[in-house]
Amino acid sequence: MTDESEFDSIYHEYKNLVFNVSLHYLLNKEDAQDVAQEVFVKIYNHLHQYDSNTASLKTWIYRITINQSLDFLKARKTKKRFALITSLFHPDSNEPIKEVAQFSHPGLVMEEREALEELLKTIQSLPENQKTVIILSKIEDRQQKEVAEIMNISIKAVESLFQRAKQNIAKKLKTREGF
Amino acid sequence: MAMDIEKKLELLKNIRQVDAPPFMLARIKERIHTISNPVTPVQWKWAFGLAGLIMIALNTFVYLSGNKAENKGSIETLVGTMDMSNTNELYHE
Repeated sequence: MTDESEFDSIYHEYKNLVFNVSLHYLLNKEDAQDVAQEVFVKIYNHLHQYDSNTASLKTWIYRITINQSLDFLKARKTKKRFALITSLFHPDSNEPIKEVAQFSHPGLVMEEREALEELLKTIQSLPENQKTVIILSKIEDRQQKEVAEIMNISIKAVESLFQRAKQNIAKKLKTREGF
Repeated sequence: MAMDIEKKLELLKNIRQVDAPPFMLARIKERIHTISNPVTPVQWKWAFGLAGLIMIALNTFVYLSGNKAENKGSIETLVGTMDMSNTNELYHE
């Protein structure tokens, strides 16, 4: 049984980290709130299983948040696909295909909003590992060693993923710009 | 192009961290409480209760019917079931 005061203390220390990481993955405030809540429920239920010898609490919480965000993205993709398929069977239906998620990231400044929106959407389309490396390195500003620890891979693997992610982003942006 | 992408990725550093919504803790605690104390819907309770009563009634009926059949005696029951005669009359004259 998790101690309430211990949980409250963890919540207040990590609430912004969890919410912001979810936001960087989901690009939508409401979805990020849902995921952040799920993360803390998981923390509450599994805190007794946390072993400080294997990883720091921050690393553990990062991992739960990343996994929960990626699961949410997978479920959202499935929902969208299902909506599209069902719409094929009801072509006369006036019901619009629900836009599953709208972009709403409150952390973007007005002047660079458009460029950042395009970049974040491109990052979101990357494979999971590449996406995570970019988010942790460039948005969360974590050192390579910390990224490696969170993702439970070697530093070399982080470097390799980062390079591939950059190439992928460059290719996708070039396609969008129509060069 | 390498410079371009580096420049673009540097934009990401301008994303500012935002505060988590203030009501989040209350919602989390509500979720935790709901998970640890699940509430069975009233309709389910009634449905299971009714199903249980029907099962008991059926079993009682079967048991009592069985008892009556046993009291007749097994030979009579067999004869009756197979529509046979328990006399020595071979022909119906």
